[in-house]
Amino acid sequence: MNTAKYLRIPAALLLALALVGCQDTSLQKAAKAIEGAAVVNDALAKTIIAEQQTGTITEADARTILNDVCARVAGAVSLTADVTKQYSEFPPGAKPKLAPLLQPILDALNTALNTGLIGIKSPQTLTNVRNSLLTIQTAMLAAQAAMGGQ
Amino acid sequence: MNYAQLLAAINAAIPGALAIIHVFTASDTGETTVTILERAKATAQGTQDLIKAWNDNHPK
Repeated sequence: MNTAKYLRIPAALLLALALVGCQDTSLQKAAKAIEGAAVVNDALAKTIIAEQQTGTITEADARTILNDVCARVAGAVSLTADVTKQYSEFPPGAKPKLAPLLQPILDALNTALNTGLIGIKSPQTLTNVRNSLLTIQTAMLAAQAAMGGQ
Repeated sequence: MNYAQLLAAINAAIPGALAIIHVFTASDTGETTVTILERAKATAQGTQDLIKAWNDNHPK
């Protein structure tokens, strides 16, 4: 008897059930986006510190970007990661919302992009910082979108 | 039949089934969502520690 042949139908049913039960692709997308934001944010903080040490960025500008952007993004990443981890445990209708956590960070990023970078003298550094901020912003928006924009 | 045997039977019946399940239950690198999120948190904590150290060395 070909066991595999007779197992095909129940196995297909089990596979379907497994896929339905584990279809947390939105959570995975959000998790990857959150990690992406964390990694880029960490690299940005290290770049700012290195640039400040070489004198490309003033201490005051470095302090603004590190504390008003990087530290806030890092805090938001931790909170968002916790909320996302617990997301599947909440009943429908009582899901925690990411938007209220992310919006202040998105606002801070926008402010930094629009006003907070004018003190950076080096065009290359300015471009690098701007690109990092945009990448973080995109990652945060992707996390928000993956969770259904909540 | 234990869980491992069940998975083996499923894979025998539907070649590649385990690979499909793997994609749905883990990331591309085989990590769970929780693992990715915990690594993100650890990275964020490292950033916060780095900024704290910088602030300590550069008082206003």
